[in-house]
Amino acid sequence: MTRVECTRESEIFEAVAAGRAPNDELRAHATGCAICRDLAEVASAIHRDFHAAMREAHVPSSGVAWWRIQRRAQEKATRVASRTVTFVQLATLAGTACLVLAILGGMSLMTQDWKLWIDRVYFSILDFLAAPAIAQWATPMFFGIAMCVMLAPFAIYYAVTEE
Amino acid sequence: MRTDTTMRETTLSELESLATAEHEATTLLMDEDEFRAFYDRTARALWVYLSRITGDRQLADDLLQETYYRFYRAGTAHESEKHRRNSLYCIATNVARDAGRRARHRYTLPLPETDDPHEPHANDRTGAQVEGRTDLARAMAQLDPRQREMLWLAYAQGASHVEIAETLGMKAASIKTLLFRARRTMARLLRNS
Repeated sequence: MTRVECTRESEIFEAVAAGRAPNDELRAHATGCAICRDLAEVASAIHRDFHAAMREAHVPSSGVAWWRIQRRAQEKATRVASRTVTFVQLATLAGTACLVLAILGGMSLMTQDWKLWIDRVYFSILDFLAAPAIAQWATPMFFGIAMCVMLAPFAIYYAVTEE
Repeated sequence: MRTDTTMRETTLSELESLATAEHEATTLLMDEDEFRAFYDRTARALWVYLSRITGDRQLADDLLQETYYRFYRAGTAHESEKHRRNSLYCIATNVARDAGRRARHRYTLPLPETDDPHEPHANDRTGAQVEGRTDLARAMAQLDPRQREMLWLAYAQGASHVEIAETLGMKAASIKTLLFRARRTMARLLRNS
């Protein structure tokens, strides 16, 4: 079985990492030990290259890096929010279309003359509102419903973009 | 009376632990000063790592930015500086592998930036150094990505087998053998060049 480690590896690596030449005894060992010889060659080549490259490396300053990260995080948040708004808008449109189709379908099933059916619904609502118990609440209720309908899109928009 | 005191102590300690947990949850993302200090300590070495495992300086610039972005967004709590650094290198390695897969990136030969061997003013010593580094780059180019990562972490960063295993997502027990093979291949390539 091939030997994959030597007990003196750590000494060789420490000498290389510290940038000092190994002592005679260690050098003599490395000459005879294939594992330590490979280690010394590879580790010193990489160590030299690492230190030279560290001197040459040009990285953006930490301030620039921070600014880029923040800007990217904001862009991502905006993208996610706009995607959600689009989704809600599409869902609302689809829901409305379904509702309209369902009402039209229901109307055509209930009666062939859908205008007559609308008249009937309209008058039944008027009758309902004219009832003495309801009449006093009819106007505030109407305005309340109208307000809700008008404000609903804004409420959805702010709820979604808040994040 | 004693019962009242005990109850009050329990309640206060519970409140304290809740407050600590809440504080920890809100402070997982590093603040600017902490991030900048960590970046200043690690960025250059990380850039060198990325440029050596990809063999491409421009790509290393992009990957450096991507690595710090992912690291920041991950907002993971780290028990020590060493653990935090390992986590950063783990992200960097994954980012480099993703980039390699996406672009089918081929390892190019990263020549030293400032020391051009063909430059007429370069003296002998600089020429020899550059030659040595070019040999290393050429040898690295012939290794597979995992071997490059492993050798660099072990001999440039001085990472232990356990740290290499954590960074590369491998078993610690297999690192010794794999590192031995990578080193042997690299030594042979260096001798041949």
